[in-house]
Amino acid sequence: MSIGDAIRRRRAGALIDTPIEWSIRATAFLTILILIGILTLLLWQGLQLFIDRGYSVSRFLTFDNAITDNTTDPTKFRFGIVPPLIATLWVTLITLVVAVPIGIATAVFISEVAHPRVRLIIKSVAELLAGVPTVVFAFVGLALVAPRMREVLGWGVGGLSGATAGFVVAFVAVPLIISIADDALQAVPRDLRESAYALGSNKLEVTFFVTMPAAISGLTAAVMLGMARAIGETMVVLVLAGGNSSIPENFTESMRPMTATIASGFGNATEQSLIRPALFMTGAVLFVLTFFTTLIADRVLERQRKRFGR
Amino acid sequence: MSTAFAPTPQIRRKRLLQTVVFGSTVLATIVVALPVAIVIEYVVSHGASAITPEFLFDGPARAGREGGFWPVIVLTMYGLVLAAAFAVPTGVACAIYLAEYARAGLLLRIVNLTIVNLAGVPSIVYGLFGAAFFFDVLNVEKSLWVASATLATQALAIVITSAREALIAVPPGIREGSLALGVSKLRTTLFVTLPQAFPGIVTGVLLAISRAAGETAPILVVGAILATNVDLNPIDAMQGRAQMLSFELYGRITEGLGFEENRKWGIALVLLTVVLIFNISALVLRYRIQSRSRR
Repeated sequence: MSIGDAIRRRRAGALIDTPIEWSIRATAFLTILILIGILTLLLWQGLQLFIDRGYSVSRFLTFDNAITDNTTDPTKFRFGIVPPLIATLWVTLITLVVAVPIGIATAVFISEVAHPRVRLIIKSVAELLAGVPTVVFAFVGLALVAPRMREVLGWGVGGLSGATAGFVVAFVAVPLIISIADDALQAVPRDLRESAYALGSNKLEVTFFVTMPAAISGLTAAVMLGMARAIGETMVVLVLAGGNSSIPENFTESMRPMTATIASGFGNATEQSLIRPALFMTGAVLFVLTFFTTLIADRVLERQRKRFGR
Repeated sequence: MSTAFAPTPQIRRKRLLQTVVFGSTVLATIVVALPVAIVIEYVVSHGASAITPEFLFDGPARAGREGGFWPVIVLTMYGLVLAAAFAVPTGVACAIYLAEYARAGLLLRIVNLTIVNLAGVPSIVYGLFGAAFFFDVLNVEKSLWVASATLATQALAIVITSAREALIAVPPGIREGSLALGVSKLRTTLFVTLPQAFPGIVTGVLLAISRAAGETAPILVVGAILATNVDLNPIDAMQGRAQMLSFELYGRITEGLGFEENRKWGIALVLLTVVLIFNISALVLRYRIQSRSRR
């Protein structure tokens, strides 16, 4: 084969290569497009509530109930964002109260105390836990947790309350917290620990006064991402939070967080109803909430990565 | 002699404190591990009695109160295959861009940030996105392929992240060897780098499918239905309404009376089995990749 032939074949190859390479580049833009598309579509559908359907913005922001009636009359529509928002915050609070100590303690155990083989096993177990569908969690929670909440603590309606949901969501969020917290602890350089040992500290002191402070960004990010997971969890809160649409005074009451409001109302919402755009608007609030939590968590993680070069 | 080196009360207190604190971390670990066992035990012990050949391979009768859930099982599989068909080529292509083509800069940072955020978007928001995009923008009917496309959008972030990791883990020398032989960059990527990263990519895909199989909220929003006898020809089924195990379970939980308890748990058992098969295969595959690379 002459050089001329080789060049010609090379050019023919480039004719095929170039369009494929461009379509590969395009997929990167597709991800950006999807993220922007999500917010745009939620707002486009959601803002119709105020623009087309004539529902007042102040009523949406202040009304103390969130009834998902399928109505087309803006004067009869009783839906405010505050009750689901507060319910979401209650459930998330309970989730964090349960999941953060357990998650961080487990991460400390597998990263600092346990044998590497035990660490691998626990990590696999945590991933299995993450793999269990949340609808199965909801169902098992309904059978095991709700009756105990009713009998022992007397909370909620038939044991269904923000606390019940938050407790079960904790097990949905905990694998994520463990995984990120464990990464953060593992990233702390060895010599930092060894210097402290050389000064006569024991393992507990090294863990609490050297390793954990050094990993604080990663641990914070772990908590924040666990929080984002709790805010967005749907099936568990739909089944276990009780479903009361008014403003919950505290976590022992029956309530309906944002995700559960969307899931329970969307099925029978008709095209012309007010509830459909109202639920899209709720979705937009939910999106913004988790978006900023994730964004801040990522910035915090970035700080740790820069610090330890990984 | 020994008295000179006997631990002082202060040291003894420190040791005790250490034992107590680390002991409680062990306790926390058990609290994390226990729910997996409890969930599996409870679902198996309550649902196993419902699992008969009829339950698995027959169509439903009397609105699911009798008969089986064969259509739901088949449609779940169609839905997952279709979701993978949407998400895997797109996700792997994006990972190739990130790992092989992108240069450090603003665009790469934006794309990376986008993927992190896509992974954090709540599943129900993907459902709303699917509903707005397919029903309001494209004006199509509720169907299994719409549900699959919605699940695929959600799965994209997992596929991209794991495929990118797998591609980055391929040693640069392998690429350079191919490039030095005059092979173009694209062909090096497709025929040299990609096959090397294949097991890692498959791990991510399996995890993504496992997640999609258990996901209920998005398909609830884009309109799934409970078990119905339909034509199981793939082309027709994909244009028909979605039936999925996860939604079937949710529907039966809320249905209450008139539906036997062990049949509900039977559905939970089938769902859990499907999800865990994908999940455990992913874990095993990753374990094997790790032990191979360590050698």
